[in-house]
Amino acid sequence: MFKYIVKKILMMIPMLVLISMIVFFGLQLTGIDPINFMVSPEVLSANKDNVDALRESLGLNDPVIVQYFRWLGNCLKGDFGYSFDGASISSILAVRMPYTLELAGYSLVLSAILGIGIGILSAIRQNGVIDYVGRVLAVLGQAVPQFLLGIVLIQIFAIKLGWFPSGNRVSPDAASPFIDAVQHLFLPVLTLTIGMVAVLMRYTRNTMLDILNSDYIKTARSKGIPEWKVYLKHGFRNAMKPVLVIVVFRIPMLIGGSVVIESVFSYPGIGLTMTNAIVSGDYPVVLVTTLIVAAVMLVCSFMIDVFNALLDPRVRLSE
Amino acid sequence: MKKTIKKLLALGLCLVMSVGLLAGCSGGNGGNTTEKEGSNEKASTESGSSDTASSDDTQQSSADSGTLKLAVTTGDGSTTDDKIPTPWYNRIFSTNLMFRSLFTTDSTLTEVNPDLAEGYEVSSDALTYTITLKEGLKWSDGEALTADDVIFSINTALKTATINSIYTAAFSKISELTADGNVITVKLTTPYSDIMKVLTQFAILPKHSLENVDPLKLDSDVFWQNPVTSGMYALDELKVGNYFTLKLNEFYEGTAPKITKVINYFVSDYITAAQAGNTDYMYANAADQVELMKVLDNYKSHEVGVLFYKYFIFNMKGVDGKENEAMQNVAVRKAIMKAIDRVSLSALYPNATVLNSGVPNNYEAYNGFEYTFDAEEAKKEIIESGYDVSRKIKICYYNNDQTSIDLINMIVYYLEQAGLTVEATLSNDGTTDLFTTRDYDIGFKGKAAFSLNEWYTEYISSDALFANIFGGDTAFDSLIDELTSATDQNATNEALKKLQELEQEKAYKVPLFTVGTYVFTNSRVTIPDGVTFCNPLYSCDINFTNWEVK
Repeated sequence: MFKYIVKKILMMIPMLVLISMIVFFGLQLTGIDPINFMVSPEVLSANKDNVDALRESLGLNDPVIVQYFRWLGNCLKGDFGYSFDGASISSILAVRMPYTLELAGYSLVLSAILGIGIGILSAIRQNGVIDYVGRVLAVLGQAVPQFLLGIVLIQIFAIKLGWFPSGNRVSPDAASPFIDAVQHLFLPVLTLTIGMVAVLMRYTRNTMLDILNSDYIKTARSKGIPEWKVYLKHGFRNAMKPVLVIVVFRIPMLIGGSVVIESVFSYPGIGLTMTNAIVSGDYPVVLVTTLIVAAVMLVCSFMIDVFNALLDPRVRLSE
Repeated sequence: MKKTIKKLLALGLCLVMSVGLLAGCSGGNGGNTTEKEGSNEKASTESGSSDTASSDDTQQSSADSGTLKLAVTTGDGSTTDDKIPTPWYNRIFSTNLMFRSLFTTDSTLTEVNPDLAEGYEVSSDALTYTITLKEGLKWSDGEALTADDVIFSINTALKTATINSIYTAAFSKISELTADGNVITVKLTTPYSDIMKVLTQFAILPKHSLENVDPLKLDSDVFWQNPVTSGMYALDELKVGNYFTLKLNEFYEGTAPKITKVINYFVSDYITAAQAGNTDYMYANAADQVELMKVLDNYKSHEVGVLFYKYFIFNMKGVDGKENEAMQNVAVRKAIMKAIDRVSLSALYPNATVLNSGVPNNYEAYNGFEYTFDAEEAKKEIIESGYDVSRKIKICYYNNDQTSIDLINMIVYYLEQAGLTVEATLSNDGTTDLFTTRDYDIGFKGKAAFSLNEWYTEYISSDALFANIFGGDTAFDSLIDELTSATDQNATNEALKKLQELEQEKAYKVPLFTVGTYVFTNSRVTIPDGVTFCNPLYSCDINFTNWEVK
């Protein structure tokens, strides 16, 4: 088992390096010149010498390969460098990451509770009211793009009803930090949750239905085990394994998905930072944030592999 | 036992969710109407509860008129939400309240009135300006604001990268800059007619805070997270990604404003901020934005006279030797202009006025030339010019608002009616993309010009940007010198007429129209009578001291 885990961890290193190379050289291929974003076109005309000096001081005149290895070397030393507007990327992450984790964390918990709960109920009461309503909501939740849902929620709850703020994470005159947090998080968390609930609900329902129709469930029922015990002990427990895989794989998707949601809600997390960095050609920030999403994805994948291996010895043996 | 634990867990979960929902539904920022009272009460009771600095309660006058809310957009990538934006690029409302210039101006951006300086004198040859600074000026940290700060600011402006080109164009004409006490002497190499107007916009920055900062990275220095200011307000609190608040500057020597606190929210777009009541002031010039704002009955619109050009630039030749032969034929460029119905296009924008040169048609200096619309004639001229009509004309534009997209679609339609094949691409910018790839033929641009001079100085052969599009043509240089050094209206008009003729002959960049700009103020703000707003990207006297918030 130990060997298996070490092997998985070691495999992550070349994958991260490969991803970093793809992102770094991919950004270079786009032809983006960060100077064009740091300095306005009108200013370029009047300050050519100063702009050239700025380009040199940022190391942008060096060959791409030199720039890549310099950046990689610094990252390995824990120095993520500086954004083109002068801020340390480590400090950007320190301020922004907690906001994003908060948003993704609440969305994950809420969607897991609602998605799994409604999914189980839909399976138990197949073709009942909950099942029909759940299926309709699942289709809607998956079909409506998150950014559109976010805009609709802002229009209804922030602008028409005025119940929640339309953006940001903190109010300057908040009487209670807790209430302020709930108010600011409610709409973005709801937006992320609705999309994810739809996926989880459908998956849980289908898995539960498969299991409830299996032979061992029929055996359990024939033994006279109470129905709730059949659902929870035999059905739910076995259905959870594939559902948990989906839940864990949703973590990087939540962090990635927050790119759109944070922009819609002006929520100051890593997603909004990434969007602004892309718009302004700030590729040191784009690189690091993209790598973080990739790293989270790899770690989640690793966790699922280990989790599966722990539960199913056949996986370890086949590896 | 297990059952009890499960029940307790379920009950606890339900309680947490219910409390969350109830807390979420109670209070909040509310709509515009309900928010007025709440936010004002909170502001007056909590203005001293900042994380970073305490408010100076002694500054709060009995006429405390509450809190003004402003929005600072980060949606276009020009501003970040982790610091105060530099006033050396655009002068926005928030920074106008924090930073002052030597002089202030009126809504036309032409008058020169005292601000940090009490007055100035100019020599008869218009080469020497003597500016006298007011006595006893102080920065918000209590340090004296002196002539050294002025000299430092002007010298540093010439070394920095992120700065509005009107400053570098003007300051590059300075041959000598000296101070004797509070008297500053500015000597120019050649007369520069806009020099005083430029000084009404140029914010003076504190030497004692910035003298050790690399000028190239000045706008990204940590100074902007807690800047020392000279204006009516000083920074109270900056909450990265969320907002910054301003409190009264206790060292401001003028009359304290009635509004004692200003909240500046970082937002992705102005319209949502206005709809949610998070800004008391905003501006717009795109038709869709103006229409959306006019629907909001709690906002009052103010039309602003701004030289906001919408224009084409033709990509022909770079000083780097790169060529685009297809656009080098002036007959093709003029035929393209003839194929476009600019009057119909101008209807897309609020209060747009069709242009035929950099000088608006109602100006005295306008030379009377007109680009006429004639699709059939245009088609004929394109064929006569020898242009290969099967070749695709590529247009690049960078404004992603719906009005701009509609406009470009209409232009494509007009050009196709003239027998051309056209492709339009939304890009990051409409200028550098032209010559970095040399893959586009026409760029569609916008320019909120400070003055007519700014429009024409783009033609100068040494212009690092446009030289890569117009090929560094020196034909305009002497006329531009004539314009910028003109010291009276007759000489200015004379130079403008010659420049118009040349630009109409060359057709390197062709103006479509100027667009109207609107400032919107929330009805909860009382603005004194007689206030006229200026170009929102510049600073002027709007009698802010007497603004009130209900």
